[in-house]
Amino acid sequence: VLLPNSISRIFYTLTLFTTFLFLSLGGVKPVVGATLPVPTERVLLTVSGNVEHGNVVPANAKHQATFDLAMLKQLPQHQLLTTTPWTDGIQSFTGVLLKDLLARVTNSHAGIKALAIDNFSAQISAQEINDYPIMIAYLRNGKQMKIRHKGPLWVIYPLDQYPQLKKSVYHDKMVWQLDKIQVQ
Amino acid sequence: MRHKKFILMIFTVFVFAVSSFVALKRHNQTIDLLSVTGKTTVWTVVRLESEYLKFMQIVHLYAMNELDIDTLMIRFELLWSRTDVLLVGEESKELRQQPMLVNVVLDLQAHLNELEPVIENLQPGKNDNYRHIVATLDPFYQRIRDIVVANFRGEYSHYDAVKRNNIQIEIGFYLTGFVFSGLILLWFVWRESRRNQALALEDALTKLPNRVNFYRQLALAETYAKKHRLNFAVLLIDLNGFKQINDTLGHDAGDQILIGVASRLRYLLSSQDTVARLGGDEFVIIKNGLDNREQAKFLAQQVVNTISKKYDLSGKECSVTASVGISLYPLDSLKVEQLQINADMAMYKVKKEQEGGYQFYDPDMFNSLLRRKQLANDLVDAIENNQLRLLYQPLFSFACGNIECVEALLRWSHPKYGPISPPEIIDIASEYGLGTRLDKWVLLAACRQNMLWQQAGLEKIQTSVNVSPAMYRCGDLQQAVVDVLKSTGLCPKQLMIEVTETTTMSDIEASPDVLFMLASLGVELALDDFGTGYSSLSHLKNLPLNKLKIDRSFITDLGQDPNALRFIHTIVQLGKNLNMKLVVEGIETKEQYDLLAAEGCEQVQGFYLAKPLSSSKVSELLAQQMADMSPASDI
Repeated sequence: VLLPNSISRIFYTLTLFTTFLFLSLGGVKPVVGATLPVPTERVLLTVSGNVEHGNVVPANAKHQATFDLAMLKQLPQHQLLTTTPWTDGIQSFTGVLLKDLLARVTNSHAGIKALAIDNFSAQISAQEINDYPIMIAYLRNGKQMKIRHKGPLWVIYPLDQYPQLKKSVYHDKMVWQLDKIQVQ
Repeated sequence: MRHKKFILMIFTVFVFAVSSFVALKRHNQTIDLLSVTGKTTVWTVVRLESEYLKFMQIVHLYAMNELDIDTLMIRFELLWSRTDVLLVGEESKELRQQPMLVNVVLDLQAHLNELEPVIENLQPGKNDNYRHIVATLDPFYQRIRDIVVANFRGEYSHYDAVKRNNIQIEIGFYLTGFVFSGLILLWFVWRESRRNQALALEDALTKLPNRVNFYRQLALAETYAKKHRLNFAVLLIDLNGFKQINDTLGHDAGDQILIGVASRLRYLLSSQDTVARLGGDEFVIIKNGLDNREQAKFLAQQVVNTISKKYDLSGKECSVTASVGISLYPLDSLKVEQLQINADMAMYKVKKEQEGGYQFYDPDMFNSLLRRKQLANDLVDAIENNQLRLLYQPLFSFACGNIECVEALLRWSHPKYGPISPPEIIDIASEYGLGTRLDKWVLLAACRQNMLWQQAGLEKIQTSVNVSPAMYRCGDLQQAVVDVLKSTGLCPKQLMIEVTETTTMSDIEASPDVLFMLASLGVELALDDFGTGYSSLSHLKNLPLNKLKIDRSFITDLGQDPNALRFIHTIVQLGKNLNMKLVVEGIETKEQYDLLAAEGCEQVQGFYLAKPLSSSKVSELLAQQMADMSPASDI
């Protein structure tokens, strides 16, 4: 009884993952080390903490890296098809990988803390970031997300591709209304 | 049958494995469900309440001109998003089972949509729009609060309860399978262990208790008897004639007999008593609660009688007898181990002395056993150190009265027990495996003495030596004779080997070659004790015998039984016709001598003429004989 089920699940995962990889190939490689441009539009994300290539130096504070939508679009682009516990049906998310974003602003890190507009927060370990293509999505089903629809940025774990992530402990890390990242 | 059991076993193990696996999985699921739903339910409604309160606060601050419109709008968006979280998605699906919650959230979302243009255009200051927003949102506070409280108390957990209940039923089902198959497995194990235990304590053939169980019962009997100051008896039973049945009718027949004996013994005893099979054809009874010796005697007689009744082996009748040794507790020994040894001794005594029957142990048996062991030990030394002695009883010629032959007779004077009779020496030697060594010693000593007489210039005579049955069985008699003749240089004609008819015929039959080989060496052969044993005439015909020694019992009867002389006469004629020398032995009186003189025997032996003599005495007699004869030869 168990075997066919798990096989079909593996097939499903492989199919989605292949789509995912295929779309990834079209992306642009991150330019590590190049100076980060200054945002020209509304800032969506502020990365603070262990930041080495920032674009803002607040008074009495370390570098910060701020991103607007255009800057996010400069990073390698990915698309992910998955279900979530807070949406109905399979959703298509577009965004950048957390891994790529972090590589753009720092050479090394020991995980991050993701914070939402309402100050909800979650800890994401370096190992998770390394092991799974965790996405910072800015489009859902091709549309930008309003705050009321959990936008403008949403941390998306590839739940359907990695069934082991379908646990409440990972669900809690899928921070919506993301606006700050603290790099450790 | 075995196959079916195996399948049932496999099936049970399978059910056990599956049900324990599923029950565990479902259990984990329930735990997950309880923690996740409990957590998300309360968390989600609390977040709605808190965003509502924050928004109301922000509206107030905005009216007081302390915030910008962007902040107000972000709070509006956040509040709106909380309604969305409750209305969409799997996580809040269970919450949506609560009609009150859905109503409130839908109302709130609709109202927020309605207010959105008003809020977007809200100007700082406590104006109409502000009052409208506050006044219309205010009633939601109590409604949201009610949801929070209700969820905190778990009043709306009906859906969960149903779901949990279903899982509980499922778990119950699998747990039942788990427990039930577990019980079956335990039962299997229990039954197997009982069976093993039974096998360990039971004799497989007769279903009687086995040796191990017997020792257990013996210990119990001892404890019980000690506590209640009672007596009990141990009866050791050995079958006679069982080996023959096994050998001639096969082991199946033997097994049938054993089963028959077992059931007959069981029939004799009450449930408080024990009958066990110690192995082979040996059984043992523990008879509890004896009042006197007579009861044990009665039981022993019953045992002997019941066992000796005929056994019907699928049409064939056959019978065995029983030798029973009885030992009593506490009379004979307070130690149960000794009790069994005592019974064993008594049983052996029966075996030796009679064909079937019973004996009580008495301390003499123990002493005689000790004596035999001591003698056996000392016999080894005696052989080594030449402490044995040979006496020689002369055989005289009837015709001329000269000594023609001497029979070597073994004597042993034990430092503690004094003179040991030859039959006992032979008996002990054969029991303790010393027969061959003893015979070799006798052969060598006798031949050497014969040579000494010759070397002393005495007349050449024959020496006859009795050889024990063991020598035939071992098959090295021939070699021993060859060795002795070689080492002493004795002429083979001067050695006569005496074969005892009663004891050795079966051995001779088994290996007739031995006698022929001895004959081929030139050694003479005599058949001792002729007329008493089972010898058939064909033996006389077929075996290379030179001499017949008529048993002394015929001689003893002379004078009383007129038939005795006729018997002797007939035997003498038979021997003569077969070309054998005839010897009469055991002549004790002149009367006997005179009666036999006319019968034509060649040689005569007996106390009347000469007792067994020392070698020096024989020398004297021989010298005397020579002296008597020499004048005649001179003439």
